[in-house]
This record gives sequence, C-alpha cells and structure tokens, in this order.
Amino acid sequence: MTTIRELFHSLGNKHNLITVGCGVSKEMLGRCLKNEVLSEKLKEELFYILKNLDRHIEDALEAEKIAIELHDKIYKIMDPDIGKPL
Amino acid sequence: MPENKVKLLIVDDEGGIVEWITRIYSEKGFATFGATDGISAVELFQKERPHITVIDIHMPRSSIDGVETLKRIKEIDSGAICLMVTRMTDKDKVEECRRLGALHYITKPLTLDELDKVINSAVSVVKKKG
Repeated sequence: MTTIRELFHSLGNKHNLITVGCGVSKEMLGRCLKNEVLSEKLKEELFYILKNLDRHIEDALEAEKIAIELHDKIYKIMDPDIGKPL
Repeated sequence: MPENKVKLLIVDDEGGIVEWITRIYSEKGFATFGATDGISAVELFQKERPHITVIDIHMPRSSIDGVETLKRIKEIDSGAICLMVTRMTDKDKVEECRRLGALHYITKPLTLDELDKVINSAVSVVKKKG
C-alpha cells in the first residue's frame, strides 16, 4: 500500500511537473511569438495561452504551499510510513 | 559538440522533467545530458564530466537517491559543481548535501526563472575556474 510519505512525494512531483512543463511551454511560445509572419489574431491567442500558463504556475506553487502545510500537520500526529497515530 | 559549450547534466527520476529541462537548456546553448537514475547519472558523469550537475534529492524510482548520487559524483571529482533540487520538507537531507559540498539548493516546485538564476550563478563559478 502506498504510504503517506510516498503520497506527499508524488504530490510534490506533480506540482513540479506543472511548473516546469508550463515554464518550458511559455519559453517555446515566447519564441513562436517573435515570428513575424504570425497574424495578429494568432498572436492574441498565444498571449492568452501565455497568461494562462502563468496562472497555472502560480496555482501549482500555491497548491504546494497547501500540501506542505498539510504535510506538517499530518506528520505531527501520524507516522507517515505506517499510517498510524504517533 | 563544440568544446566551449558548458556541459549540463540533469538528474531526476521523472523523465518529463529531464526531457523538458535538457531541451530548454540545449536551446540556450548548453551541451545537455539527462539521467533518470542515480547510477546512470554517475556513469554519465564519469564519461562526460559535465561542468554543472543538477540532482533531485528524492528519486524513489532510482536505484540510489540524490544524496548518494551526489556522494558518488564527489568521490569521482571533489570539485564537481552540483546543484540540489529539494522540497521544503527535506531539511535534514539539505544539511547532508551541504556537508557533501553541493553548491546551491533549489526548492521544488521549480520555476524556470529560479533555475536560470542558480544555473547562471554556477556558470560564473565554472568560468572563474577556467
């Protein structure tokens, strides 16, 4: 059975995947935006996506803060490896 | 591969992270290498001698964790520049990495801005070393 410790590690890794994945996508989109042949309409849509990616990064960072808070509260009262109260 | 490129090794048991970071830094002009396991990272280090190695401390899917990977790399080259990726909850392991000679720590979740800052700072150290 997956332990509480492993669950917190997985959760942290998922947040990391979101921030890094969005960051990489932002960089790549930013480069696309420098392409002069793009229409104004397409540029506008790419800017909208960039803005959303920023929001996803912020949300993942906030979610991680909550996960850490939860982690600290749970670890105070429960053994994270056997899942029983201390 | 041109000799003057800074060699960067990314070690993380999450394949997506390795793929994305190596891709972005290749485009920034680095010679990049990636490993999803500590043992392969040590072998790759031995073979390629990267200037900078970024290691995730927690690698449950790897045969050895990030601290052990750092330790083995430092045994090969005590002057190796290693940056450790940690979580807020890793205080005890961070202390161990400090003792083993890691240069910097970056806290997960990573943002590319933060990663850029520590990698650029490590590049300055590489350049000073010549």
